Amino acid sequence: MDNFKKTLKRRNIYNICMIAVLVAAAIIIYFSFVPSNHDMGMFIIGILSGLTALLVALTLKNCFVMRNNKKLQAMHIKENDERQAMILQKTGATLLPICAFGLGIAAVTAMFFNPLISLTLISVIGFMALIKAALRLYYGRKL
Amino acid sequence: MNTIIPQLRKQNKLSQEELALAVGVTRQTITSIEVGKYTASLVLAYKIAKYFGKSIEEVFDFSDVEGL
Repeated sequence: MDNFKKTLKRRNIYNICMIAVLVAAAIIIYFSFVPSNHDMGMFIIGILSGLTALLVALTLKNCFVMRNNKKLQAMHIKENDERQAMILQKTGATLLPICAFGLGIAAVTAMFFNPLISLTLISVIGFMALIKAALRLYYGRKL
Repeated sequence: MNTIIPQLRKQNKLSQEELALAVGVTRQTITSIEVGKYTASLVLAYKIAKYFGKSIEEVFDFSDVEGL
């Protein structure tokens, strides 16, 4: 369980770094972008604030769990459960072809209205295929 | 794959939750193994068998597995 505690601590450090980056980005946007484009600037700051709140909540949850051994064990079991891992693997494996099919239909439809959007969607499909091929190669060598 | 985990649990007066905690998985995983929806990994099968002081073959029935 000590290893898992270390993992949570590492996650918290990462979260705190991300929070710092998000807050810095919000401050920069507030002083550079908001005066020229108020609505868009505030919209971006809103999104950044939401992400920051989410990260703060996750960090606090990790801190709370680290103090309670029962909750720590429950979280460890939940994260390392082999059935959950298999569900995630199967979900990921099924998601990609479905997304590619949906994007393909959208690309064909978009061709009638705006070829640029269609080309963008085709590029996304190509990128997804590239990532899949790279991951297959990586895991084929690793496992 | 059939298993005698429910019987073993009854004999030992053990709940699914307690067994799950002992072998480091969720209760849902034990339920799925018991009803035959999920096939446990070799490591988990070994942990469960060891917990009851039995061998894997005694706890799990491999007769319906193809190629055996």
